[in-house]
Order: sequence, then C-alpha cells, then structure tokens
Amino acid sequence: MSEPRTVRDPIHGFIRLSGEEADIVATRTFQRLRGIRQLAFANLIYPGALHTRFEHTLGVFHVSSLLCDVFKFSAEDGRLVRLSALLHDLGHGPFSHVSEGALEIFADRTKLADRLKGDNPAKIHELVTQDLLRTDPELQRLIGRKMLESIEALLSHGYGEPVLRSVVSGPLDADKQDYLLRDSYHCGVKYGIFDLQQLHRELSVVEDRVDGKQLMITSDGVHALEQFVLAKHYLTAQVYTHRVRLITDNMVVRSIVLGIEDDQIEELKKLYAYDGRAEFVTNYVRWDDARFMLSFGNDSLDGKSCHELVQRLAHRRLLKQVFVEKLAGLPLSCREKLESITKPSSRERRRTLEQRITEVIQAADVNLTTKLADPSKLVIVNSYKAKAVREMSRNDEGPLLVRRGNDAPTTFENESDLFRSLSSEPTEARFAVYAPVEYENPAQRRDLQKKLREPILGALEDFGNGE
Amino acid sequence: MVNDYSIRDFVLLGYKAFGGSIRGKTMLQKRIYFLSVMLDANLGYGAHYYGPYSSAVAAANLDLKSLGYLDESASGWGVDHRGFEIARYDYSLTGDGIATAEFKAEKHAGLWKKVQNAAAVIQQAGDLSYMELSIAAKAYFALTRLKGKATLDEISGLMPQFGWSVDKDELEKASAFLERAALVTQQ
Repeated sequence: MSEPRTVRDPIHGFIRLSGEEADIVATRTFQRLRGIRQLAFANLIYPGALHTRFEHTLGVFHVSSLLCDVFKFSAEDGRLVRLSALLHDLGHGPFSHVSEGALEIFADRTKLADRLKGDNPAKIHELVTQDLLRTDPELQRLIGRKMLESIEALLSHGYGEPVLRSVVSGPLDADKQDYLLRDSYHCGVKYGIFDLQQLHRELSVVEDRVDGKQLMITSDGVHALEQFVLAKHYLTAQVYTHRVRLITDNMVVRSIVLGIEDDQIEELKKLYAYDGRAEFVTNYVRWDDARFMLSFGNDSLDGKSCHELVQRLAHRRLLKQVFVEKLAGLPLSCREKLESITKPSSRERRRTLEQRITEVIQAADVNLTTKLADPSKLVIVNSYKAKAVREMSRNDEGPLLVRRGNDAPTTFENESDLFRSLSSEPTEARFAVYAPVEYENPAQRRDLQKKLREPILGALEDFGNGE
Repeated sequence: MVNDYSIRDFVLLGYKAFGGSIRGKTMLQKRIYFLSVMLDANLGYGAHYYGPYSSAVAAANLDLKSLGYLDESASGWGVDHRGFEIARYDYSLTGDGIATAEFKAEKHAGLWKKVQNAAAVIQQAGDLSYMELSIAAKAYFALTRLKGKATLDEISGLMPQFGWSVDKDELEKASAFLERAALVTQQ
C-alpha cells in the first residue's frame, strides 16, 4: 500500500487520502476521469468550466470524509462511505451525463432483462458502474470483493443505516455539496456559494426505530440550508439548463444517434450499445472526451452526419433555438406527447415531428445551413423541466426534515421563513426546437423566432391531433 | 406505470373524483393513499413523519401543474410553533385539466369507475380535516405493518416507531372512519 497523500484542491483546500485511497486514485479506471469534463460543453458558455470528473470525485470524497466525522460513523461504515464516494462516478462516459442518454437509447434490453426488473429498474449507466466494480481487476485487488459488493449496494439502493445512503445520495449528499461549489467556481458565477461548515455543524442523525438512522438538520442550520437550496436553484437556471448547454447536450446525443444509425460507425455502436458483456466495459473505459472528438470529428468521416455535428461542436457553430414555449402554453392535444418526446420509446414519433417542423421552417423561407442532404437530421426537438425553487429542497425520499429539540420534526419548507414566503410559481416544463440556422444579432434572432412561431405551433397542433 | 395507466393519470382521476380540487398537499397525499389502498395500486407509499407519503404522487402532481392541468394557490393558514404563518397549497383542475381528466376517464373507463366509487366511499365515510385524514392514514399504515389485525392499543404502540404521535381519542376517531370506509372491521 502507498503512503497517505495530500492533494491541494481549489474548493476544499487540502484533501487527505489514506494509502488505500491513494492507490485507488492511481488506478487507470480512476485516472480516466481526468479526461471527462464535469459539465460537457458548458465551457462554450463559461470558458472556465473545464474541470473534470476527477477533481469533482476527489471533492465528493473529501466532503464525505467530513460528514463521516460529523456523524461519528464507525471505522467500517466510514470506509464504506468514503470508498463509495471515490467510486460513485466511475461509470461516466464521454461528456458525463450526456452519455447516459445515448446508453439508454442503444442498450440491448433483450440481454438485460434479469438486471432491469422491478418498478424502478436501474439506469444503464448504473449497470455500467456495477460492471466496473465487479470486474475491474485493480479495484478487486485493492478493495476486495466483499467491500465492493457493499459499495455497489450502497450506491444503487442503500446498505446499512439510511444515513449512510444519505451521504452518497440524497437531497443533501456530498455530491451536491461539492458540485455546487465547484461548478460555480469554475463557471465564474457567484450563485453556488453556501456555508458548508455551518451546514455540517447543524446536521444530525435522528434514530427512527422503524427505518433506522435518518439525516436531519437542526433549526439553527436552516439559513445555511436556504443558501444551499438557492445555490442549487440558481446554478440549475444559469448553468445546468442554460439554453446553449441544452443545445450542446442535444447535439452530442444526436451525433451519436446519427453516427450509429445513419453512418453505421462500428466504434460508436460498440461504445453505446450496452449488452452486459465484459467486453463492453473493457472498451468503455478506454474512452474519454478527447478521444470522442478526435475519432468522430476526424476528416476521414467528412460528409457523415455524425462528423458534421462533432465539427460544429469543436468550432462552436451551434444549432440555434428557433422556438421555445412552456408546455402549458401549447395546444392541449400535444402537451403530453411533447412532454415525453425525448424518451427512447418516442423515437419514431420524435423523428416524424422533426421532419414536419423542418418542412414548415423551409416553407417559411428560412435557410437550413447544413451539408447533409436531409436537413431534418439537424433539427432537434427537446422538452425539459425547470423545477420551481420551492421544490428544490425536495428529493425522491421526501422533503428535507428539520429537527426542533424534542418536538416532532418539521419540513424545511415550513421551517424556513424565506421559502415559506416564496411565491408559488410552479415547476415549468418547456418545449424547444433547435435548428441549423444563422443570424447575426439578437434582432434577427427575434425576427426569425417570430416568423417561425405560428407555423411551428400549427405543426405541433397537427402532431397532437394525429396518431 | 401502474398496470396500463400512469401514476399521473391516477392522480388526475383522483382530482376529478374528489370534485376537481384538493386543499393542501397533505390532503392530496392522504386521499390518493386511500384510493391506492382501495384499488390495490402500488403508488410507492412509504412511512414518513407526516404519515404515508409517495414521492411518485408528489412528482405526478408537479407534472400536472407543469402541463397546465392544475392551478396552485398558496394561502396563509395557521401559525407554527414560533408564531410564523404556515402556507397551504391548494390545487384545482384548470379548464384544460377538466378536459384531459374527462378524456382519461373515457380512456381508462374501468379504472375511472373504481376511482369514482372509492372516492365516494371515502367522502361518505366522513368529511375529515387534513389532520384527521392523516391520522387515519397513519393508523391504517401501522395496521398493515401489524399484518392487518391489531387492537387500538397495539396500533398506538407502533405509532412512535414511525415518529408519529397520536392520542387515543384521535385514534378512535380514525378507527371509526376506517370502519365506515370498510377498510377495517371490528372483531
């Protein structure tokens, strides 16, 4: 085993790793995270956003270590939580979360039936992480099979007391505590700041005799929690769902889809058609952002659909948003169809709509600038949600709970004076269309969007009424 | 998906069956909880400090809002332990929501009939406040953990294990409601 190490980090200062942890960081599988940017192409909006999964994972590890101390976990539980934090992002493919969409589309589910059972089946990228933990020889050697099984359980559904899971996945998990601070720092925005020390000081574990030990915050920590929830809200609005970020994410996924379906690029298929075989993961861990861009932006693929999109991303010649509207503002007949339009099961329907919208754009004498014979391949429809700030404090397990001495706990929403007074502006779902159009200034953009609004609304209404 | 319908459709039909509006998130959660019990539908309810709670139902409610099927209004209501006002969020179907609920009722005619009947039973069993309904939901949830057969004392004894505190009078009232709704029988 190596000697303990200390790593200097711009967010948390010194991060201390034990010999075992340093050895895990030194593995090829872990080092690969240096090549996967945390926020994919967000650097096209915020040039500083070039940080990678590598430093984020070290940050999550560090915050988890702090929480282990706060909650006074046993040595065994502490090791489990810290190692889980170190390994939680290993399954990320090129461009982080963007790869997840492609994996969902191209996974061979007929071969995965046993692993996708139940009401809430695992996501494909979670299966990839499981495979990595089960098969990576270096991790097996360093950590041992038994501990890796516990880590896999903790990351996927929970292991031991619920509070252990809360550290690695939950409304206040170490992942969020790191990425909010780190992403805001690298993007150069000032929204993600919150008082980490105060938050930790006021976190506590409450024993629930049925469900075990649960994480809560004391009423003195409510203001730090308000900051945390607001940070999440602002970063989501300003960075994670920024218009250009949504466009670039969609361009990456479309480049993969076209590369596999139209261009028949075998390398891409091998990268995203997950079938549970050991060969898949062996290949998967050899890829990062740079190899993706070099391989599929290579001039030998000139003329291919995938190549055009990758080149556009490389040179920031992005698709433009030509239409956007709240779902609630669209014709009733099409709302639910549009809300689910990006699901893999809606692919045929989505393609039909994109072809129809391409026709109405061209009928409006708007030029679609692409070398492809079929420009509809670069017309992308998207639907997405913008969560209301009040809802930001909730997660899948329910609202955040605040402990008030010996009284029954209350919800954060009720305890926070600030959040109680927020207006009830609801969560919004939006629908947008991106296309390869050109304009030179905001006035031209507004004119173009105005010109296309009615024709696109008409196409959406027809789409809603048709089957 | 629950069978051939989504949880969102279930909640939408719940609104329709309860007259198009529900006052408060707790009332929504507990009414849909009892509907799910009566229809034997798994909507993901689990124990929570404020009684049985389903994040899937909460998410479905958000979806219904974002699709423009629900109006939400916040009203000042009561005060907390420090004297601060607590907000209550009321929901009602919009015109689009009413039209869509009508469409879904036709599409899932069998489900709609069951939801309608179950909602009628719940309403006829008593016009409970959100708090009373919450206690009834807690009592029923605890009973299911006791294999469906227990005395009031046994139910009362189990309550603290969920972090719930219910006094005997409240529990008796809840029990009477559950009996009228044919969810329990006295032996």
